[in-house]
Amino acid sequence: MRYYLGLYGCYFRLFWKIMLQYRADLAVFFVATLIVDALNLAFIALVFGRIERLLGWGVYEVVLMYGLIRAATAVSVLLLNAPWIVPGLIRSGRLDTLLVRPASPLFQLIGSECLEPTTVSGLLLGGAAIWTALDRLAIPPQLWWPAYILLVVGSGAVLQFSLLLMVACLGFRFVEVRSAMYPVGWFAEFARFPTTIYSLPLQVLLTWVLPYATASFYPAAFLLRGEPYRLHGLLAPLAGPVFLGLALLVWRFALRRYQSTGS
Amino acid sequence: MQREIAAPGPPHTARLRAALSRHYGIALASFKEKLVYRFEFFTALLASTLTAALQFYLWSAVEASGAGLAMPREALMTYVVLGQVFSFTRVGAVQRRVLYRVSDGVTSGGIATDLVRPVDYQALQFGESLGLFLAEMLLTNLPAYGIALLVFGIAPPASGAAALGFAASLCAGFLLAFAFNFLLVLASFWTYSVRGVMRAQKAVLDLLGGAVIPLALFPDWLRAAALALPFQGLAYTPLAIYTGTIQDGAIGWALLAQVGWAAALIALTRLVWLRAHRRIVIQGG
Repeated sequence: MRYYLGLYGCYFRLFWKIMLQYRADLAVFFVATLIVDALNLAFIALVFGRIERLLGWGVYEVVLMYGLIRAATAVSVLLLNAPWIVPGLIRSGRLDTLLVRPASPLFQLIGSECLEPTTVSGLLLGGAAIWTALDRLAIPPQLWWPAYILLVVGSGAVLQFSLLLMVACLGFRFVEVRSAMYPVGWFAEFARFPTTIYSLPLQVLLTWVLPYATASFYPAAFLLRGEPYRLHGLLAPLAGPVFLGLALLVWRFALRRYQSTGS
Repeated sequence: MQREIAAPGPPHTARLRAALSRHYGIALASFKEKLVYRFEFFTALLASTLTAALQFYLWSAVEASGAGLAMPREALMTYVVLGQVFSFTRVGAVQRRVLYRVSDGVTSGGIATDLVRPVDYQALQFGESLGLFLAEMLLTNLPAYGIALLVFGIAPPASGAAALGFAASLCAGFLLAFAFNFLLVLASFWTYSVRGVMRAQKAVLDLLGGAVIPLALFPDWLRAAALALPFQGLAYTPLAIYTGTIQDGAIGWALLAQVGWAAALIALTRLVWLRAHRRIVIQGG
């Protein structure tokens, strides 16, 4: 454990050196991320400027869903951005380097992509959205809410990582899978709004297959509406760990059968 | 060699077999390369169908919640779904490919190879972009359009003139998109990486292109600003022609504005390029 912590520290220092190399790009990226996030909130404001409720859901209920999924994806990109580099490593043969080192390959991947500092703004914005929503909704918060929200956000972050890792593992079989990772990544956008506005197939997809709704809609509905969403709400934080288990199985299986490209 | 000649059957069969096995590797590689693209076109189709679905259900819900929106339902749904099917404001899979190649070239130094080729770099990029634009239209956008017509029930073009104007406007939109992408490439010569500027482009285009939120629903001052800027030519102009918001004589003027902006911006990229390629830093090596 100490060994891994020390290693992560090394990765962290290395990462900052790289980031400072591309300072201008970093600044542009940071500002642009802020603008994209502001635009998404403006979208919600614009829609609710014209309607009272979106199929029964009020503006701050939607803001809470937005905040939850935004925080989860931000944490995922911030700390667990590794799946994106897997296909490239497989194709170039550089994955071999990781395999001969003593530390776990997945840890090395997570370490070498260790931080994506530009999404800190997303995390802050998500947190602010959650805070504002709960503040304005005038429902007395319970003592266990902060812990539950942290669990949900953590589960959502791990969920996105796991889904992306599973798609990335297709890279062991096909040449280029990054373009398949994009739809899986931004499918999370569907979770910004109440799942009930979608058609049944999309609801099933969002609940069971790419279950981003477990990181936004179900927890929010459970906190705000209570009883009808109790079961969903209590099971929601399990989605992350369950999919992480699946992803690790797929990853181990893929690595065992891995033959280098030899180039 | 000996063994091949000694192989059973007439010698020319053996030679053929040797040639076949030699070329098999090359053929496989180029087939895989084609397959790579085909896979990308497929995922792009999937992606635009999914975003279209997101927009469709979202705006349906808004509509069903009794909003007094500034557009009739059918025009609104056609506009937002079509905006995900044909739009230059969403970075397409293929376009991303060109940008990533340039960006990898800038950070790894591989761009030097492209620069020493006896072909003008900008012309090279234009040719590649044009080919990919046509391929993407054929393999991604048209199938996605078919899905939009059948599944989401969007309206056909408002008139014959609208259909023609829409097609012409898409071509003009491509010229504009090329100019903006090349500006991105140029910006990366200064920032040494294309990631940040790509995100910035997305931020600006999402808002001012008018594909995510129809311009008709903007506050007045913002709509006036969006209409005065060139970004609307990437999404709003073709969509408004298709849905009949821009019609008759106005179509000609809208097209003229698009082409005029495209010409001006391409001239600008040319000027900047002539200065920029002297200062590019070849990294790595």
